[in-house]
Amino acid sequence: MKLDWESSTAREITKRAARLSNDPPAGARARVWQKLEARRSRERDKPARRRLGWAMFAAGAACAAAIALVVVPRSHSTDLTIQASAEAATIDLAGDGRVVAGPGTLARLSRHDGAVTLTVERGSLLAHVKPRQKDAPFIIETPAFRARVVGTVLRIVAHEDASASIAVGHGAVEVTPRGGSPRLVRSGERWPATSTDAPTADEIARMGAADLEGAGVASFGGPVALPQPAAPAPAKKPSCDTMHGEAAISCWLALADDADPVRAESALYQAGWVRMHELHDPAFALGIFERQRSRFPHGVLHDEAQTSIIDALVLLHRTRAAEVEIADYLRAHPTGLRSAEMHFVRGTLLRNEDGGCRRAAHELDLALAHPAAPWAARARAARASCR
Amino acid sequence: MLFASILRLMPVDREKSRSQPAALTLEDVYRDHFDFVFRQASRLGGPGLDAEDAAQEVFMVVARKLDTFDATSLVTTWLYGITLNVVRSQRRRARIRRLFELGQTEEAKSDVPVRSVDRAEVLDAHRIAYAILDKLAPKKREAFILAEFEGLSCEEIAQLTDSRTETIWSRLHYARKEFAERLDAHMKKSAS
Repeated sequence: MKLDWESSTAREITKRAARLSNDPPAGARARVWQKLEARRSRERDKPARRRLGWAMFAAGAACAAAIALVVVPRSHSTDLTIQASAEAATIDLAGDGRVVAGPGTLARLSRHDGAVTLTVERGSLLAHVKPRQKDAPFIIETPAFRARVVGTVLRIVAHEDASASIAVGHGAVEVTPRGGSPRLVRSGERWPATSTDAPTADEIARMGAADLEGAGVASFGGPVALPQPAAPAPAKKPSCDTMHGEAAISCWLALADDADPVRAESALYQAGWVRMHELHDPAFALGIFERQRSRFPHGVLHDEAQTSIIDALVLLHRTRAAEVEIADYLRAHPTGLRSAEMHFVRGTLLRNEDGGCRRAAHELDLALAHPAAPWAARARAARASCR
Repeated sequence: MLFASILRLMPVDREKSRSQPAALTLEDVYRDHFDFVFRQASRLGGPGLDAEDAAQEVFMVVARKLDTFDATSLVTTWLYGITLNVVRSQRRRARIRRLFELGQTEEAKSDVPVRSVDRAEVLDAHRIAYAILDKLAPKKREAFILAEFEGLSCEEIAQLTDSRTETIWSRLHYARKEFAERLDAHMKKSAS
């Protein structure tokens, strides 16, 4: 079979077919990466959306009645998200006690086989935990410590920087700092010792005397001398995404020194984008995009840098340079994602240059191959004026 | 033929991967192996499959499973396995879609511009070869593509597809035979 095969027409066809290059076309790397990031981001958001559903339910109930009564069914294993929006909300824990969630609080309550775990992600909770069996503890988790409650009145605060504090108004709580050993925090004591977090009068009023076991604002007392955790959780760096203007640009440019080239390239691109679209400074943005392109000539965002350079050059009225870049782009990506748009830009530039449509008409025709594009109406109007 | 050269480097790479157990990130894998995945998807899928879509799907799987990759095999071997499964699944879906389109099947078009007579011949051979290959059973088709287009040996294909070398020999033998017969029929039909 081998000899027959080697001399056959089929072998010749196969050899010829194998010569066709399967290299990815220009821009494919960036296109696929963008789609991938978008899909991953959607996947990451899915559980958050589910939590948000519960949270919106809780927050809506709190706003409508000022006091929210969320009855948690006593099933084998349940989860409940507690979220208070602009104002505090009171939530009944169906036999386990009651909590007052301060504004902006996000916490999760889960039950499993009689044990209850309250995870405080951010904000404050004033809690009355009803007396419980030792084998069915009420656990409070925060980024800085874990507390075991048997029955007490306490207040927990979880800060944005991953620190947290606890103040006990009645009874006692066993607190285990992350990386430390368990400590008992009694009525009138706080942890950490330096904490100044204290319940507000509004929270005390919302909880009501019946659930406070006789505790008042003063009962949450002063600081208690307890050893600090050996290695406190490092403060979280604020994300550049949440920043604006110069602060965002400085943040992204700092990240541009990252050892990971993809992250560094992406950070440079973000800095340029903010400079151009938020601060409307195409000259400075152009410098950043050019730096990105020269540092990462084969980077995943190379095409994005090039189209942004073209945008910046057009905004700066550097027509000749823009036309050269457009020609480069179209040579490399004759059917690229933004090729039609590039024809539109080139058509517009040529029309302005010539004061007529001698050279622009063909470019506008090519641009109108995408009649649904956002700029298509302008391209149509420009083309119509050529006739 | 890039794939063949990567496989032949296997002992060195494997040693390297053992001595460097540092965790891979999706960005690392994407940066270093996007072209490889694209080429394999394009080769295995043929002109009827969108290689960009397939590559995207492969890296979605990589993102989900990266923490299970234990570096006991080459990254490229692992990626090849994922690509193979993704392409199989996309071809299956395309076949089902075509069933519902009731004969409205349009021949896959190549968007590669023809620049010379030689290129036209290559494109024509590529179109005919895949039209025939698409009629072969999936496993025979894979063995044929890896052997004839990628230049892999049966031992290498067996390693990649987790099969016995004898099985691959057998698949390749029947794939070549069927390919030649179908090509013959195709040429006779074209001549008449």
